[in-house]
Amino acid sequence: MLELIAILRKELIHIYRDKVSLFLVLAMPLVLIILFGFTISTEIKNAKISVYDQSQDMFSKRLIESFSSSGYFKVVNLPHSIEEIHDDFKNKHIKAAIIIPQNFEKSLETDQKVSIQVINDVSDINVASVLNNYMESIISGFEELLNTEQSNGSPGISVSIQMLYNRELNSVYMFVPGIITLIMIIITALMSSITLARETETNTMRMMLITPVKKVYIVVGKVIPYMGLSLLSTIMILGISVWIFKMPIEGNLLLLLLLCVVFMFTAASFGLLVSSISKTQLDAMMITMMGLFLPTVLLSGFLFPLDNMPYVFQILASIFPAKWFILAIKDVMIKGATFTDIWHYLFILVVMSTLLLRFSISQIDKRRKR
Amino acid sequence: MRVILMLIKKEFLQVKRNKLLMSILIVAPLVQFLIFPFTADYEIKVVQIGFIDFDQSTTSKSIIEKFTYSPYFISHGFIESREQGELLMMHDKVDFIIEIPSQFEKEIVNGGTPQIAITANAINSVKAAIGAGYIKNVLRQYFEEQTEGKTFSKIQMADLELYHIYWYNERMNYKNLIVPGILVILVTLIGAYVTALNIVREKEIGTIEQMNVSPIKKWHFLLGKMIPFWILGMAEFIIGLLLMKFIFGISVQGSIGALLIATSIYLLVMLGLGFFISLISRNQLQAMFIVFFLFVVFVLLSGLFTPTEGMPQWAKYINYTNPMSFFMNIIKLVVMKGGGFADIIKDVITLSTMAVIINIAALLSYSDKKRG
Repeated sequence: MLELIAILRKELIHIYRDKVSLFLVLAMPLVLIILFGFTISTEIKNAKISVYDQSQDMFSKRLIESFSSSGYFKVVNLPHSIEEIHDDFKNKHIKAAIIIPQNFEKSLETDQKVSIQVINDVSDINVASVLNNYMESIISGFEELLNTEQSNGSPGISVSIQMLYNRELNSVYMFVPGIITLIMIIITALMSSITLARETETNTMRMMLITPVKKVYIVVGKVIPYMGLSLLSTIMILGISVWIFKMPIEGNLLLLLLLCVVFMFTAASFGLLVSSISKTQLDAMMITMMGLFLPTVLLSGFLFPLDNMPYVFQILASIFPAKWFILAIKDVMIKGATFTDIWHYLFILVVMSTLLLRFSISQIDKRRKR
Repeated sequence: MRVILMLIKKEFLQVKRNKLLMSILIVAPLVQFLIFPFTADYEIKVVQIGFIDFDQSTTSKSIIEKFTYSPYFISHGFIESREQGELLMMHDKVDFIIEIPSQFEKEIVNGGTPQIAITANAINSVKAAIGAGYIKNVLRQYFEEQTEGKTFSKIQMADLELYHIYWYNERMNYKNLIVPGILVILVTLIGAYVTALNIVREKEIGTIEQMNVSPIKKWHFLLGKMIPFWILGMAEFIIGLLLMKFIFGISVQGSIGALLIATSIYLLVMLGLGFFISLISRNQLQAMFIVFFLFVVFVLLSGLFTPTEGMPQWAKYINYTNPMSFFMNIIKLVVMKGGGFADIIKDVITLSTMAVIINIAALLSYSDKKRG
């Protein structure tokens, strides 16, 4: 036991001395969450558009008015030809051009189907699809307005929408679980495996091995401080998301922490496995990046919706622990799930870490025999 | 000159011997190309809906039927009660619940406006907003059809629709943005990551000391490191362009020459950055963290995943120092919009300035540290 404490102390000194890394590790979640929370918004304001109004009547002017008063669009030019539209795309950097056909008012009044042409700049598809949604809703609002004017309040259906779990449609709700996952992987898996590989690379590992300290203690003593660090980081992230972004923690805080600790063990077991098969720090880093970090970013469902992916990738996603952790953490934080609701996620994570741990121990044994 | 050639040869030998690095240089782009474009898809294609029908009339049933025809919706069938609905939503079985109140049909016939309640699982805010839009559209269409067919046929209804023409990406395909984006990521990683780690490693195992006592000059060292990685980066980029064409059918619309010039300058920025970071960091862990940190900030602000238009002003200011966002812009202009050298000249000048500044900074800090 004393040996373990000695190793722990040594590792803590290492961490404390490398102030740059320590600072970056603690600042990273902060920066990530602020970037995700503030800059990543799918809302676009004042997108530049041109309107080619071929009809120039009351209705077309009202339509243009409702576009510019929506706040989403800013009409920068009223061109008079298709060529002028081309120029606007090039010189005025408009995102879309709207062409209102001739006899707009007349056609609407005589009950014809009128189609308005929209030319989108899809070189950035994210912008284009958001703008299209805005346009659809402006058009249907305009249409409804005309209809109520003409028919003096005909019967209709009114629709009320209740946004459950996330009333203000805040995108941070999606990102916080993801960021916690990434930070856990970076600190627990990546840092511990890299520092272990560094000991091998600089040959200090050999020195430790000829001391009477057991190999298990060396490894465990290496991993524990990083687990502590990642738990600290997680608590920081939770604090920021609750205080700054007003994210709720509906479920039990202890259950949430238990979940984080279990996932931390999964990440730590992966880190052990990596360090047992890699000889240099670069190896350790690349294996963790390719084997755990990248799949987590792509396949955990926090950036990209899983339902859209081809079936093969959905199966692949289930092999990585991050998906289950994110599902569980969302349920606990946002939906207020209890232990009985998420025990199967916990079970999967525990099984995964046990398997990883068994495998990495057998790898370490194999290496020692050599 | 001979010294630099020797150094370049040494570097290539090291890269060749390092099997892992080799496999990463080859496997990483392949994996990214084969997985990334299939997973990175924001488009909301299907939403799961469940129905609570308190009315059980022909009208309510025909509304529900209308939803089952739409390709956007997967019907989860009828739900008995609100409690059951909440449970289903809790376990992510449904994304939306549409509740039709009792006396719905009667009210419509009597000329009232009954209310349909939609409950959305809004954890994924984008999905909730877009899905709600889809649902409203279906309801509106249904109502329009009803009024045309029956009682209200005398009243003229305005009927508007949007007809979209998509420029630069005719089928609104996400891959057209994501695949060039991967190219940018690859070039960045090779430039900054591999260079930084490589030099720090020399520092850590002490071989840099040996070079310092040899007659190699500091700019020899700088060039001897940069040229091999520059060649590797360009090779990766060209392989990437070929993969892009033959796997995804995305060919460069504009001038390939302009694209290659821009890429080579961007690589110089990234190499210089990697070099600079390697000099200020003491071990590979530090170097990795600094690169990683910058990389994440660059990617998030570059507009690859989310529109830059929606960002707050301070983020836009930060973006003026983000080389990746300029390069992303160049890629969009040349690959998708068919731009030539004249269109990208401004961005190229910005990148060149960045390259000069960062490389001079690297050279200066190298002399401070190593030559005293």
